[in-house]
Amino acid sequence: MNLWNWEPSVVAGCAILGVGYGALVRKHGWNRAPYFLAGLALLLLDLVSPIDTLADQYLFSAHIVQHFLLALVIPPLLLLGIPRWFAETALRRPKLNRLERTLGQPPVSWLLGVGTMLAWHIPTLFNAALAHDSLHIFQHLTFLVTGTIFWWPIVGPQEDRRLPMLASVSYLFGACVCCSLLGAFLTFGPVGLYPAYLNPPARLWGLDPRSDQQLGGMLMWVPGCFVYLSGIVSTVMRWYSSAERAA
Amino acid sequence: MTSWLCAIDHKRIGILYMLSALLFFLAGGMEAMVMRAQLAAPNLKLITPEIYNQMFTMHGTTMIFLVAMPVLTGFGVYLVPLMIGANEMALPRLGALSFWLQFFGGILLYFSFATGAAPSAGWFSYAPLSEKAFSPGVGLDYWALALLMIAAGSIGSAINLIATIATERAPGMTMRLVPLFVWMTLVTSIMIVFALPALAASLVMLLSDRMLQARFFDPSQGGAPLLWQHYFWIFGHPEVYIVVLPAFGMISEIIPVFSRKPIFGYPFVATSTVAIAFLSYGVWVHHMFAVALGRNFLAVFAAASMLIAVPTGMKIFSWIATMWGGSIRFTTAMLFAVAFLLEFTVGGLSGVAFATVPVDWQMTDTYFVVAHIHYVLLGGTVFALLAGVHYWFPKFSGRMLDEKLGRWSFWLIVLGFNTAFFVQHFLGLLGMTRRVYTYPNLPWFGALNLISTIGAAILVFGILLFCANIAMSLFFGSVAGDDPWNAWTLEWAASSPPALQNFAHPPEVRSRRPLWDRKHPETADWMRV
Amino acid sequence: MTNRRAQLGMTMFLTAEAVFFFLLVLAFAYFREIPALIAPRVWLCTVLLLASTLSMWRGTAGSGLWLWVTIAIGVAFLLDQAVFFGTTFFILAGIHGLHLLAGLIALAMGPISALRAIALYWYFFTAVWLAIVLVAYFWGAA
Repeated sequence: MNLWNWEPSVVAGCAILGVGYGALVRKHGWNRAPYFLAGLALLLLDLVSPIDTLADQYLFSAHIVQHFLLALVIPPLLLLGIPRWFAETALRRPKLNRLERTLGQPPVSWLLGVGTMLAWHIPTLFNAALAHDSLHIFQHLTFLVTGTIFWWPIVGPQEDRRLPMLASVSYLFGACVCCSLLGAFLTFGPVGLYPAYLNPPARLWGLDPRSDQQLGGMLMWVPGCFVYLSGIVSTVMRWYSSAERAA
Repeated sequence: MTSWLCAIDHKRIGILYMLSALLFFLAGGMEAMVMRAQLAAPNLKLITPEIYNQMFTMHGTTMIFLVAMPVLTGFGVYLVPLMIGANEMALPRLGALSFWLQFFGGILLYFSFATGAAPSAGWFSYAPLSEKAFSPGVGLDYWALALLMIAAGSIGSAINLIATIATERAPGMTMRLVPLFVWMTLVTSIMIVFALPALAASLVMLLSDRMLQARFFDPSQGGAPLLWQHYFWIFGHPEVYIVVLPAFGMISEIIPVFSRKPIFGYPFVATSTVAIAFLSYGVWVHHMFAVALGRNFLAVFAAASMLIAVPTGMKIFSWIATMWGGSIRFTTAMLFAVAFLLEFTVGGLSGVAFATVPVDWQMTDTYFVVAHIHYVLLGGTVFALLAGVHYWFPKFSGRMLDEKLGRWSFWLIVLGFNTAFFVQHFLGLLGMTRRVYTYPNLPWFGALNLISTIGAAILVFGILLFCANIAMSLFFGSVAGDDPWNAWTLEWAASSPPALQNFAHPPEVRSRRPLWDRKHPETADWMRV
Repeated sequence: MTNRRAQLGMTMFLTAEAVFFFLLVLAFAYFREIPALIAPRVWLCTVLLLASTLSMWRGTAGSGLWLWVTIAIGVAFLLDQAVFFGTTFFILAGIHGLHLLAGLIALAMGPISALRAIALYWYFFTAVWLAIVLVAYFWGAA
C-alpha cells in the first residue's frame, strides 16, 4: 500500500515556489534561504507524505500534526526566509501596503490566527472538511494563510516593524492559552466529536479512538505551547541583543 | 516599637518580613526536630501518629508559606527600590498590608495548636482526607483560612513589586539594565499573580465543602478528589519556582562580586528565567504521575518536565562560567553560594529523575522525594538565602558579620544538611515511604534514619551558630562602610543602613554596573560594547 | 505618576482575580452547580449591573450624582442575589457579590484619586457576572 500522496498541484506549487525563490535571491544572497527552503520542504512533506493519508483516514492525532505544521511551523519558517529588501519593494505598491496595514494590525492578525484554529475544530466544520475535498483544500489554505498573517507581527521580514518585546510576549502568550484550552478540551472532552475517526480502515499502533483523540489534544496542547514558548524566548533574546547592538 | 508596627518604609517592611520568617523558621525547625527524634530508631513511640501528622503538615506549610515566600519577599521589598535607585516602593501602604496579612495568617495557622488539633492532612491536604468526614476537627479550617490570608498578602506584595519595578526605576536604568535580582523578582511576582489565585480557588472550594455542604472533592457525593490535585498543583508547581527564582537572583548578584567578573551571559540568565516562568505552568501533572491518568497524558507531561531542566541548567553553567578565570574571594557569602551550586544541582538531578514516569512510580511518596525537595529547597533556596544574609547584612545593619563564626556555621550547616538528607535518597530507594510516624526494623532503615537524625541535629547547631552570629554582630560587629565588598549595584551607593530617603539625588545609570562605572570612569561598562 | 502606579496595580490585581474566577467558574460548571439562569429575575440582575456600568462611566466623567446611582443599583443587585440562597451556586454568586460590596464601599468612602481604578474594578466584576451568565446559558444545569 502506497501511503504517499503525490498530489500534482501540491508538488507543482512547491516546485514553483522553490524555483521562484531561488531566482529571486540568486543575485542578492542566500543567507535566509535555509529558513524558506526548510519551510517549503516541510510543506511538501506535510501534504504528500503518509502524514496526509493518516490524517485523512486513520488518526485524528495525525491530522492535528498536519494542521500544526501548517499553521505553527511552516509560516514562521517561510516568513523568516523572506529577504527584507523584497518585502520593502513589494510593500511600496499601494494595494499591498494597505493590505499589510490592515491585516498586520496585531488584534486583527491575532484574531485571524487564533480564530481560524478554533473555528476549524468545531465538529460540524471539521467533519465537513473531512467529507468534502474542496473544503479540505480550503481548510489547509486558510491555515497557511492565516498562520502567515498571525506570525507576521512577530517574525515578519521588516524587523523594525515587528511588535515590541512585551507586546510580542503577550500576543504569543494569549495564543498559547487559547491553544492550550482547545487542546485540553479535546484531551478531556467527549470522544466521538469527529466520527470519521471512530472506525478507521485499520487500528494503527494500538490507538483506540479515545487515546487517539487524547493524543491529538495533547499534541496541540504541549508541543503547541512549545512553539509559542520558543517564539517568546527568541523574542526576549532578540530584545537583549538589540540593546547590545544599539549601545 | 509603634514605629515598627506602623511602618510603611520599605526597609522596615523588609526587616519585618525577615524577622517574621526567622520566627516561623525556628518553629518549623522544631517541628522537624520532633519528627527526626521520633524517626531516630525503629518502632519508637515518642509521639502519637496524630501528633506526627500535625508535625509534618505544619512543618511543610510553615516552611513554604511562612518562611521561604516571606523572606524572599522581604529581601525583594528591601533591596529592589535600592537597586533601581528609587526611594520607596510604588504602593507603600499595600506593602504594609501585605506583610500583616501574611503575618496574621501565620498566627491564625499556629492558633490551631491551641484548639487541640493542628491541621494534619499534609501541606498539600489531598482530598478526600481533607473533607470534614475524614478530618472532622477544625485544624483544616484554620489551615485553609490562614492560607487564604497568606495568599492575599503574597499577591499584594507581588503587585507592589511589579508596580515598583515598572514605574520607579532611576532615569537611565532601562529594563535591560536592571540587576538580575530585580529581574528575577519581577518574573517571580508576575508568576505569583498567575499562580496564587489557583490556590485561593482551591481553598475556597475546600472551605465550601467543609463548611457549606458543597461537594467539590467528596467522591461519595459525586465530587472529584482529582480536581483538588489538579488545581493545587497548577498552583503548586509554579510555586516551587516562585520560591527559587529570587534565590537565583541573589546568587546572580553574589557570585560576580566575589569572582570580580560581571555575570557571564546576562541575556541567557534573564531569558531562561522567562522560559522557566512559562514552562512551569505546563508541568504540574508530574506531581500526579501515580494517579492513573493515562499513559499518553503522562508521557507529554514527562517530556515537558524534562524540558524545564534546560533553562535551569543554563543558569548553572552561567554561574560557573562567571567564576571561571575570576579572582575568587571565599567570604562566607561566597562559600554558601558555591555550596548552593552543588546542592541545587543534586536536587535538580533527583528532580529530573522523577520526570521519568517509571522511576516516579517507584519513588513517589518515598524518602527519595523528601531528599529531592530538601536538596532544592534547603540546599537551594535556604543556602542562597544564607549567602544573601551574609552579603547584605552589612547593608541592613551597618555591621559586618563575623567571618570566623560564619565559616564555622557554614561547615556545620553543610555537614549537617548533607548528612541528614543525602542518606534519605537511599532510604527512598530502599522503599521507606514518607509521612510515616515510625518504621519496622528492616535492614538499613534504622541505621540510615539515625544518621539522618544526627545530621539534622548538626544542622540545627549550625543554624543556631548562624543566629548567634547575627545577634552578636548587631551589637559588636565591626562597622561596615557603604560598600564593604567593593560591589557594583546601586544599593551599595546608599549608606549602611540606608537613610529613610535612600538617595538624595537619583543616581546616574548607564550600564548594568553603575558603581563600577562610578569607580572606574576610564573603563566604565557603557564605554565598551 | 500616582495614577500610573495605581492603574498598574489594579490591572495586576484584576489579572489575579481573573485567574481565580476562571478556575472557580470552571469547577462550578464542571460539577453542574451553575443553574441554567433562565429566570426573568436573573436577567433583571444582569440588566441592573449593566446599568450600573453606564452610571459608573457617567460618574467618572465628573458627576458625583451618577456615582451614588451606581451605588444604589449595586445594592439592588446584591439584594437580588438572595434568590440563590440555599444553593451551591450561592457560593459563587456570594464571592462575586462580596467583591462587588467591597467595590461599593470603596466607591462610597474612597478618595477621588482612586476613582479610575475603582471604575476599572467595577467593569471587571460586571464582566465576571456576564461570563457566569454566559456559562449558565450554554452549560447551565437545568
